[in-house]
Amino acid sequence: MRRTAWALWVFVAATLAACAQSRPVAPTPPAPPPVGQVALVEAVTEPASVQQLDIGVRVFDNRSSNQFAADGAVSVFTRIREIESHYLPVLLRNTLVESGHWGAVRVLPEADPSMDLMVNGTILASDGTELLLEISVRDSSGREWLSRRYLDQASSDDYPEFIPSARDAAITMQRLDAFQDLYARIANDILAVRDSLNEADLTNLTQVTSLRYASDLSPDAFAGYLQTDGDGLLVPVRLPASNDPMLARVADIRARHDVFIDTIDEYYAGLHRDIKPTYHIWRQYSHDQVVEEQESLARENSGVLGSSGSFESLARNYNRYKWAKIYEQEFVALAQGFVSETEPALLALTRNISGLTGPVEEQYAQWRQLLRELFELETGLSANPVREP
Amino acid sequence: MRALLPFLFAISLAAAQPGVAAEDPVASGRSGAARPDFSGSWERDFARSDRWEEELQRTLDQWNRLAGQGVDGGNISSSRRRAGNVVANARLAELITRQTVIQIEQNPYEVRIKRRGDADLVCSTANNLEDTFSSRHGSEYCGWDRSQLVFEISLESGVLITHRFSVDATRENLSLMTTVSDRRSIPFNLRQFFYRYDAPADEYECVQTLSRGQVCSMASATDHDDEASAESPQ
Repeated sequence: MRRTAWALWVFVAATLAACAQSRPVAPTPPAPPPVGQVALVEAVTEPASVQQLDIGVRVFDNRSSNQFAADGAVSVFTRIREIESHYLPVLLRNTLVESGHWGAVRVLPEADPSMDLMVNGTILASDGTELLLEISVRDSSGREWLSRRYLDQASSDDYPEFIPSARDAAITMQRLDAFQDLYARIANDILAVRDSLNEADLTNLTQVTSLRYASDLSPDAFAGYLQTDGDGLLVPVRLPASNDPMLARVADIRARHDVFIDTIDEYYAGLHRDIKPTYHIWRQYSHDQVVEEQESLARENSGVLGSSGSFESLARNYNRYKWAKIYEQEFVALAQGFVSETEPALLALTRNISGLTGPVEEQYAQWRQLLRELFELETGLSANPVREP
Repeated sequence: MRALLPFLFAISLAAAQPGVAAEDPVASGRSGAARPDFSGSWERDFARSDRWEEELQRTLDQWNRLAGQGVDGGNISSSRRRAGNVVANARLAELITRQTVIQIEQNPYEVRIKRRGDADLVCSTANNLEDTFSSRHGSEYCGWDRSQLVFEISLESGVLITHRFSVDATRENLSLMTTVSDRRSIPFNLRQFFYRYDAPADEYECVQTLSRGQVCSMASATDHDDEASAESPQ
């Protein structure tokens, strides 16, 4: 009876598994062409102050697939994706800073109303040979600057000949990222949009940012200054007087806010510094694994490995299976090593800033609420938060 | 075909005969499943284990008897081909079971069987039929047939390998039945017995890191001052 029940249970499970396999899958849009070699456009002279927009790069989302889901290692690879979602935005930030075209560029856990531009990114694929990102950039008025996918491919030349060890950390720190071209392309594309705007557009944008931040602090006091136009974009309908004392208080609060988000940004930069050597090793292993898989497939397709019912053929078949499994198990072990080695750096993101507690995302939310309450205390005005566009 | 594999495996589990394993369950914290304790170091008992040549001869004799009775339709060339497949399968069974020592680690969640020169066999202790590995070279499923732990490997050539582990009530003897089969011949079975031995306790506790390989410290150290570190290259 127990056996019958077991067989029935397994039959149902197997049927469900078969059904799951035949479930229609949403079509994946074709990948964009690789960005190729890209030279970062760097500022020759200091840009005009109105061009020096502040940029926030939000921690990336991650939708890259997990190729080892069947191996019980899902949590390890999910953790790696989480690390990447904190690590890769810093590379884009560094590239934007290096270009010299912008004001403050910060990595942030959430969209921030004090930023002129917010960059949102999603990691669609990352395996050491390919990096596919979906990037969207919007300004404070809600206008979309960019929304596209970027693909870069790394070759063996992008990695050192030998996988570096901990002793080579100093060299690794100097080494360019294997996908640097992708970040340079994004930075150049953002710059191209900015350069298409005239001075009046840029001035208007910075005014919208200021008013938006002010209305985030105190909707009652500042909501009337901004309006949504027919395209759904925020436009200033009037401006407060330059000597408006309320504006001075907003500026004071914003200065404190800037210090806080600078600290947060420094945490992300610290995370990047701490895990960079280990991440490079990990990604090189990942790259080598993908290349080995491709070469193995090519060898088989070329017919080098024949097949017959002989013992030699069976043994060869078993050995290919065995080594594929051993390699995958070692890869999973390396992934676990990567996660355990980078754990302290991630934990550092939960350090308390200014007496706040919790993960950095929570501290950020607490801080914004704190500033609203501070503003309310100082001005006696309501500090109900408003929704951001 | 791939979608059918779990089903076929499930059928084979359901059809299997009860093994030698006795109920000596380790209380499991998962799904209420009670699993025998396979953990420990095991060394092959050559006296009790099958010799593959003898087992091959026995299988061939059996096959010849069946052929003589006309089970194979009396086709001589077909019989020879099938006999040839049995030989190849027997040699494969011998090849993949050469390890004289195996280590088994077990916790409430999984059983990991370590064999020198081969990939670990890893299975959850839960009541699931588990897809543990899949590649274009073959795929592996594992599951539990009462107190037996069963792995089924399906190679791309169509050969099926089944490992069936069981442990006796005293936890002193482990049995491993390996079956290699394909569609063209009768299955070849090879049974091996192992007895438990006490491996010396590992002096080091090691953690896998990426940049420094395995980083080990003395397992017995309770004080940080007593800790010694050793690094090994990857």
